[in-house]
Amino acid sequence: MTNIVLSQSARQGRRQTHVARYVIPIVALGFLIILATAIGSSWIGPDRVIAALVGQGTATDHIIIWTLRLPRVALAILSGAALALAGLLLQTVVRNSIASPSVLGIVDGAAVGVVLFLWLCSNENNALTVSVHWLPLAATCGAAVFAFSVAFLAKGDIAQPARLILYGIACAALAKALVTVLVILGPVYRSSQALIWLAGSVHTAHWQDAAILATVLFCALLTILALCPACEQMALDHETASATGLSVTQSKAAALALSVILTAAAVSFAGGIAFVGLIVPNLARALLGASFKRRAVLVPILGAAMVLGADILARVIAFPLELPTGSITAIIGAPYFLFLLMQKIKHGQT
Amino acid sequence: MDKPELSLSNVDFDYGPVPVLRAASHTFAPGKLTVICGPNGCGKSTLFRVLSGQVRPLAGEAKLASANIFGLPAKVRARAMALLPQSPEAPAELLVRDLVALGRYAHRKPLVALARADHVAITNALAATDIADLADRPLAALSGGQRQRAWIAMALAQQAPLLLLDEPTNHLDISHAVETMHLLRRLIDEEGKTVVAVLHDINLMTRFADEVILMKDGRIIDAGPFASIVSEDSLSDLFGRPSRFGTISGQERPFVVVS
Repeated sequence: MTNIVLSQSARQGRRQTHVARYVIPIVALGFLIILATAIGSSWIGPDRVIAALVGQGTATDHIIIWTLRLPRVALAILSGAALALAGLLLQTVVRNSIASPSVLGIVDGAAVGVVLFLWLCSNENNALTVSVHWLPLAATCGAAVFAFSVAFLAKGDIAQPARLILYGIACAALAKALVTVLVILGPVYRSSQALIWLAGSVHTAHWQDAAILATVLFCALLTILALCPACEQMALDHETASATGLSVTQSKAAALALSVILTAAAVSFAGGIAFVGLIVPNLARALLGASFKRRAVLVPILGAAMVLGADILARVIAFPLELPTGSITAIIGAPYFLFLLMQKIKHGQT
Repeated sequence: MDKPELSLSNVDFDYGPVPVLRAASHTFAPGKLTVICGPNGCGKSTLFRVLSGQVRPLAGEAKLASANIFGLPAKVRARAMALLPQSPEAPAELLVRDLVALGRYAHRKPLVALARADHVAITNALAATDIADLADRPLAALSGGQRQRAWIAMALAQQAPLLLLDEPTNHLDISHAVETMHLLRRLIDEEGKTVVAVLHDINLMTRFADEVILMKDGRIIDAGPFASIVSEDSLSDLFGRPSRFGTISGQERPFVVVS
């Protein structure tokens, strides 16, 4: 009897810490949203930000916040959530916590798609000859081509972290070289636009971009909900997963495709923001353990907070100059990647 | 519980130029413990992969009832047959309860959380393998033997009438190995399951097997009820070393000493 009571209170305590691990990131994200909206060419106090957000406040505040600042905040949140989910899916599919869309060349692949698009679809006046809304599709195609190249090269080695990462790095290097060549060969105006985009930035955000990205993210979340049991099953090796009833190849192809689409969508609106897909799933693993289901809830929130936080830093570090958001995430992410890699090597998992 | 018949007819399988299975035919006795025995590299694990539909045989086929196993949808196959490979892998942070829950995949409906029947199956599997008190620990915190029992629990949670186990007593000390064999015995006698197990420990085989399959160089060299298959001569031939039987009073089955 005492045992049962004890285990019940222990379970309750654990549930409370679990709840705290969801609530704290949500509260932090809320603070970051207010902070990111307050910062700009003129400081708008948090009280005025909140007033404008709930429809009160002065007309000027309202216009600045709703038309200039919030689209950027929304884009940062949405792209962060999308990239982090893409990373979680990818790490689940390859059963390897040092895989991510940027490490495997998927981000750079999307960049190739974007630069090709800007180059091929603009006229002598540097104006686009087709709607800019085709850009995400171009990014998806580029991302898919490089994702499948890596998958093809690593065929059979997909469970071996070191080899998969090496193929990914090789393909990413190829994609970067292609981008450089295309930028130099391309029209001047488009090149400068491409360069800003490549470094990763959310400063040119419009509500329309945010709406498209939000739609993609929403559909992706519904798909993830349906894929959730299959993704849980991917924790097992191929043979055991198949023995429990998972159609391994089909499920992994679906999750991989979803990861590519999420990466491409985020990257085509927010640029090459790297390492979010690497760091966030690992952070969620440290907080909540290996379960895909539990992490899938937290990962978009953490991803949103990370990109938004990075964007705030990018704006204030060298004020009035703005750094690319992607450079901030890379400065944090690259050493973390090395740390994870060294840990894996130390534990002989490569 | 119905007992779907599992059978192999003339199965060949190669890895590249190396022949791994040659003309393997056998009908597994339903409601019995069949033990596959043979030296390393005799094709036991590959036989399991063919039986569980992981690989398509080059010739011949593996059948469940009258259906070709390779063509069965994964979930249908998993509801009829649970398989525990020789070295299954899962993340070290995974909790035992979550691992055992993975055995329920083939029974789950899309978009629905674990149902009551799932929780019952999980709790029963944890109890049957004597690891209920470890349910909330991560795999990393278990000993080799406890981890092996967690994997067996996952296979049990699948509630399939057919159970294929590739060296289930691997990593287990002698006491847990014997307990695991008793557990398999109980599943057969009380729940009417059909169990096929690869065992390296000849003495566990001689003590518990109903049916025995002797394998060498990718061929089934002999198969049938224990008494008609296992003798000093047949084991000596199989392993290429003289084997002697001894008896203990009160024990019907002999023990084996390989010199």
